[in-house]
Amino acid sequence: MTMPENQGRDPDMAGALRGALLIVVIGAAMGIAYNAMGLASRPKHGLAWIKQAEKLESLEALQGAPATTGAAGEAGAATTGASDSEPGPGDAAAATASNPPPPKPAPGSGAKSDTSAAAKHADAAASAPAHGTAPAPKKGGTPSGSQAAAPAPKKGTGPTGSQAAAPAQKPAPGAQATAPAATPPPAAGAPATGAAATTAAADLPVIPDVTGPLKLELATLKKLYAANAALVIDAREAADYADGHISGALSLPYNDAMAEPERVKKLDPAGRPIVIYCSGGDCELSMDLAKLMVEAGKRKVLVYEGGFPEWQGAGMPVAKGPNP
Amino acid sequence: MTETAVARVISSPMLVRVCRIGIGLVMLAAALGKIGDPGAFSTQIHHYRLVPVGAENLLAVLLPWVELLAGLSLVLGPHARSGAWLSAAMMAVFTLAVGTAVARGLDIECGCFGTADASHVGGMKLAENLLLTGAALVASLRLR
Repeated sequence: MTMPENQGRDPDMAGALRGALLIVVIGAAMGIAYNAMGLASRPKHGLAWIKQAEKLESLEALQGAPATTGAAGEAGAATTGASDSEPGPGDAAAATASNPPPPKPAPGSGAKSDTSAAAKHADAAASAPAHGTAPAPKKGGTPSGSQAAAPAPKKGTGPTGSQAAAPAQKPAPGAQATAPAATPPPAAGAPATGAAATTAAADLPVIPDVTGPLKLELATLKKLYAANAALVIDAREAADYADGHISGALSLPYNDAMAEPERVKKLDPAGRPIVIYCSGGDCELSMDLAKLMVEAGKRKVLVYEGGFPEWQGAGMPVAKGPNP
Repeated sequence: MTETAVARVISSPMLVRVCRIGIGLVMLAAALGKIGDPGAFSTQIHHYRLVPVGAENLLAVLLPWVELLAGLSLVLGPHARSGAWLSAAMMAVFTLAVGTAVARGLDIECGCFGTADASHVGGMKLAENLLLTGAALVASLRLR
């Protein structure tokens, strides 16, 4: 399509482009001057010229040593205490389907896992440095944190697909079948499995109840994972999740969380800390989702910066497909 | 209507002037919404995940002022064609950004008018941006 009287050479074109360049230069100068004044003012309201990627405080650093363990007496309560987040039967019942806890095979019971991932996990749990005995399976059936003291039923198979989503015990009336199997903290004085669980809990890191998210290292995550003492969340896109994820992790893509804040609000970690990961490296989805979680009132939110590649590289249990 | 007739309508001085004023006002509104809260605009840029983190603040500081001057030049007259070219270029970049966000399935705030508008990216926003880009191109035509 040709424009009448605008055909061919446009004598004003060079002038127009020079003018555009002038606007860019003057605009940039005004922006710089305005921001510089903002930075110089008190209180400061300008933006830093170069945005720094946010650095999280390290959980291990807060504890004084890398991947250290907490004191036996406080570990259980500090890590899985019912005081954090906002657990409640209502929330738990509303939790989404894709929220099963990490698989909790029972190597000590001799039961065989029905998945290779779960088998790997069993190995990992058994070989966790500070665990003399593998922790007992903790598939707290009822999502309510009030069930925490009840002895956890054994479940030899690793949770896969719908199996994972189904509560181990009878769900509360009205609870969706997909509610996460809340993992109660190990019960003090519980018989047999309770003792093993207590040992595991004694080894767990103390998660301070700080307002912002913290980062944690692989060694710490391994301990939490082995004891099923954390809700692990994959912040990547569903397709990436399906390609491979930490076995038992639930999928909550950051974009979905942004679009449906209710999913974050209704998420019930059952008193456990929430560990979020993405693809490691420059991936910021886990950090961004962690911020959303904190804004939604969640506490004890941890970011595993190593992400899925590090986890997989360490030979830890992974799973494929849309289910945990 | 023949092709020449369509071209004649599009390049009519009246339409070009209307487009200049319209795009100018849109640019001014967009600029003022962003200048008021550059921190929020920086966060909105971040959500697109198209710009290196280190450059997000700089872009949030500079872009609104360029929009402001482009808008002023369109509305007030001096260097109107320059402002129109610049607006068309910026609108094309914004349209691409919204398009890639939609293609990636992002459900984020557009950030088109800073915090003054909480609309999200999507098909409608893409169509709106395409329309504005077209209008900016018309505004960049030489007045007969």
